[in-house]
Amino acid sequence: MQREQVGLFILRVSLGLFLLLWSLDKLVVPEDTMKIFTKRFTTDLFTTKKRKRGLVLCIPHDKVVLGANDGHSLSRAAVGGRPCREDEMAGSLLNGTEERRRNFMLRRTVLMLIVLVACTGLSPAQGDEVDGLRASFEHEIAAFNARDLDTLMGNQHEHVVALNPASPTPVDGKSARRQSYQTLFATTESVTVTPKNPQFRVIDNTGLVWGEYTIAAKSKDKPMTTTAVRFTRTYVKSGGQWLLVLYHVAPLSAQPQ
Amino acid sequence: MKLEDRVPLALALLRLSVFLLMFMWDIDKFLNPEHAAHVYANFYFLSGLGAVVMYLVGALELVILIGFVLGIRKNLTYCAVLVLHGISTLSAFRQYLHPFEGPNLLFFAAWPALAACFALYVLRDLDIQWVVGQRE
Repeated sequence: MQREQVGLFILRVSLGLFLLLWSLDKLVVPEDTMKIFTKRFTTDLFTTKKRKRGLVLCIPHDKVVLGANDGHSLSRAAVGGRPCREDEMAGSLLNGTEERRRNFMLRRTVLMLIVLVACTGLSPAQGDEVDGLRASFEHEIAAFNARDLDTLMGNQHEHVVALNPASPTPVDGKSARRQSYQTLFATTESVTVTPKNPQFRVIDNTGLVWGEYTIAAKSKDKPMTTTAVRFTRTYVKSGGQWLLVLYHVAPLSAQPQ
Repeated sequence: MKLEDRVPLALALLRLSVFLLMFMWDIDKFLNPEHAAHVYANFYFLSGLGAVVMYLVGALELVILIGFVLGIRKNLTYCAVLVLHGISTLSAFRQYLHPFEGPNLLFFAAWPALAACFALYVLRDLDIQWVVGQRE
């Protein structure tokens, strides 16, 4: 596993655990959450106060949803949507039944949020897969341009096959591929690959990247050349990492006149 | 944004935020040495430390933090920040045993910060944005 992955994994796990504990706190000690919401977010979950000219606009809870009415709490029908006085609302809130209703509503809200988040997190994250493939591709291109051979070889499968015009025969296997790169870097002063609108697709554990790129190469004692090519790269996901298994590059065909 | 730009930016933001966290605690040693001594007594079992000791510890920590935030001698400063924060994270073990009592949940924020210190240390050669030190 690469050290970037280790670092990010530990960050993710610790952040996840931290936030999970705060979620659990809402279930275990909901009163604390209520205090936090009231003090930090200045939000009362059941009434929305809008102070204007000494009046409080009441948007009270729905007693049908709550399933009980103790005769004191304000209902939508009782208020009729009008602004109510602050003393009216104060009388409605300061009793035990109201407190229990608050707890019930809070628990229900938190549970719904948790279920929502869990469902979202458990759904197939195809977008994440494509992002991972894209990151792997960009990482590889950056390593190639930087001539960072170790990083470059980091996401190549042991049985990778490369087909490119520079080699008369397929480059078969990781060690042959490393040798090929070493030869390229030794015989050039610089080689820069610039992808042009690469496309990404993930099918199960197979990733496809295709498109065009320009290769600007400066061989030793030769002028700089720029070549436009079309490429396809096939990856497989193994051990949580996208590994390149097939690489094919070919010059772009001549444009029709 | 390209990968080679995204990684240094993320690491720089991590470094700045870790610096802010530790800097505020460091400033506490200068502005409120009694409180800092109280923390040392309660969490590190080092009681009876006076204000002078707190000033010295604060000054040493400040030097490390400045080196850290500027990316100087990354091997040394990043490792020191990781160790310092690791000690302070582990020293609050009693709070971790009772997570839902009082403000104890707040102590758990130390763990993501510790992970950030670790990430910065292992990826220090990639942390090249907004540093003045040698790009190791």
